[in-house]
Amino acid sequence: MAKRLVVMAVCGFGVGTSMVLRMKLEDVFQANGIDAEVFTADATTAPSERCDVIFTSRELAPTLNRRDVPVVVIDNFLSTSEIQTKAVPVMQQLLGK
Amino acid sequence: MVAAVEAMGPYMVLCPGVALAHARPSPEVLQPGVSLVTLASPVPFGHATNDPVHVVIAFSATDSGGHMDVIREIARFLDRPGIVEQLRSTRTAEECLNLLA
Repeated sequence: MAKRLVVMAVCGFGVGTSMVLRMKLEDVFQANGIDAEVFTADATTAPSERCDVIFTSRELAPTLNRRDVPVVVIDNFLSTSEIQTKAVPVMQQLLGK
Repeated sequence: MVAAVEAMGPYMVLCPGVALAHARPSPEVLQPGVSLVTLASPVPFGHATNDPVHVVIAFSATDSGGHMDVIREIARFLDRPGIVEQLRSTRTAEECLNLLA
């Protein structure tokens, strides 16, 4: 059975901006047949949350201090094309495809 | 919100021209709500690609799960082609509400 990846969307408080990002990521994953669990986190807890990959803003990315998993920067959280272009290759690589 | 930008950067600038202002859900929030402000003078938040901000959408949430539908609605609204330009060109609350309808 294919591995189910755990994806973390991060913003300052984990409830607004990251929620938009989670929604867009879920849409993109569904459209591309990628099975993944997406959850949101705030900048304070994100450094210690377990996950396979992180999506966040340009400014927050370096503050998370995560070298254990890929950290993907998204500039336009509403852009399906940007999210698709950046997210799909990372997910496929993690899935070993 | 200003403190959040200073501490964590302008992550709330969602897409070109639009900021989603909000705080943490807490018992101090009286009720869920949404507001929308169009700025007469655009404000730079310091975002590398999405500055300056023309439209600020604020929302309040009493718990972290229950506002997903509101977020979904906001995202769907902002997904409309040309919506930011349309919002910028409104001059009255009524014009703005017509776009939301």
